[in-house]
Amino acid sequence: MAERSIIDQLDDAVTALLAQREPAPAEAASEIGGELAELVVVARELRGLPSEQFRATLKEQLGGKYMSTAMRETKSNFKRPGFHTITPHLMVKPAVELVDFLKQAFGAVEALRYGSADGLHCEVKIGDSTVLIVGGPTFDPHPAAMHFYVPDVDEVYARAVAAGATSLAAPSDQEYGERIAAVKDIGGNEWYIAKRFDPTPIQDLHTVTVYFHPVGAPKFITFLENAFGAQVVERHQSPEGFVYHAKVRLGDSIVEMGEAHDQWQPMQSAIYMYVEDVDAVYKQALSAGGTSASEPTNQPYGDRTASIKDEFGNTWQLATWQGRV
Amino acid sequence: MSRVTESEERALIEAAQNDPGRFAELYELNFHRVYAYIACRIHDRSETQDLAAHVFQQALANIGKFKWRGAPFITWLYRIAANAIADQARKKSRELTETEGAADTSVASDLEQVERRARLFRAVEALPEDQRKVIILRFGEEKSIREIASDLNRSEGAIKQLQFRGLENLRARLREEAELK
Repeated sequence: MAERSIIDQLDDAVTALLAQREPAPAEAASEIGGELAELVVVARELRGLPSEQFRATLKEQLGGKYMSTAMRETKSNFKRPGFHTITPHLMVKPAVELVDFLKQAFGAVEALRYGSADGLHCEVKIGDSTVLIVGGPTFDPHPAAMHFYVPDVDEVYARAVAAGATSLAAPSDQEYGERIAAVKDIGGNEWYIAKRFDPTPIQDLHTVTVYFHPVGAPKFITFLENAFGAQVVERHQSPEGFVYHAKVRLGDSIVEMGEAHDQWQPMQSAIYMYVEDVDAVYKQALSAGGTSASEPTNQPYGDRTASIKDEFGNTWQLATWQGRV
Repeated sequence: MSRVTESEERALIEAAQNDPGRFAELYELNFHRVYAYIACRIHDRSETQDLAAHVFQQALANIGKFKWRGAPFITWLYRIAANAIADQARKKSRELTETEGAADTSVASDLEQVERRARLFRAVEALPEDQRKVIILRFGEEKSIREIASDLNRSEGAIKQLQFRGLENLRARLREEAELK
């Protein structure tokens, strides 16, 4: 309790310091004793601490004149460590329960959590991928579909069902070259648990790969190309243009898709996407037909973010990690 | 960014003179000291920011004219800052009264205090991430504990704890540096 008291006393002193426009006299600290007084001295000097936003904005303004090209060409640390370009951003009501499910069923390892059941932000690692889980009872759900590459489809499928997932398709071998099963988790996300027959790795195809079922896949691919500079890696389609399956590269990640059909219908998914220059990509995505959901803003957690909705119902949360310069 | 040697600094200046795109490195290297220099004299955040922006804009515009005479680059930046502060003081004093004396344009003798302040600003960057965020939001953005708790989705008690730990760590860091000197 004694420490709690000193914590509160310190905050009272900080609040008083921040409320003064003139610098606090040095003697003020001496009225309180010992350790607290020393901390107040540090706090007093911190009063002029520059805002990160100011520092970044000034750099940007100076950069607007001369620095931008040279800086941007060499910039490589625009993603938070541990993140790929594309991260599924699962927004669900039972967020806490979903995290537990992912641990139990898919061996997810929790990397970061804040908030509570009312409003949770959690990051888990599954294989080489990070998955963001955000939500709570009052959140609008935005589940996603994901291709989940595993060494043993049957075992993971059985674990998922045992942990409470609903089976959408039991494991079976598919002629296009993989063994695959499908489950829906308690948050409504679809997981296509798969193992490719061809063991040759596909570059940038990660353990958890976002999967889309757009109505109008060719148009969706064009949007990804124009908005985000996507490159088509694979495209299988009928002579009439019905896209059975496509793999498209965005930065260091691949996203997959197949035209909506039967039970596989569009989901209004959210995707967290790291880009080198969030402002530029935001503008480019708008001119490619996206709609602004939020303008570029610096976030307290160190990312500058903006978000774009595409006409297929997905939300692209664009982010540039600002790191610590 | 850590300190650089004299020859590294000269190389950075030459690089920026040949390609202003390289000025970013000098900006990063000197930002905290320039900001601290101004913040030690001007106690209004928005004036400090305007002056800091002015100093770097002037430095970038005139980098081609900078000549190495043995003094570190920061001295040149301090000179620009001192002139800018003096200009501003003169402008203000003209607005207020004609009788104010001319402002001091010397780079001045309190550089030790400036260095200490700049070290403190840099030390904030090395704090554990959650403490760093709280200190930056509290002192850099001047947000209340309640606002920070809401931004970071933590309880107010947790934010006060992080503020306390952050200040403790900064005090320890300053002590270590003072002992090393």
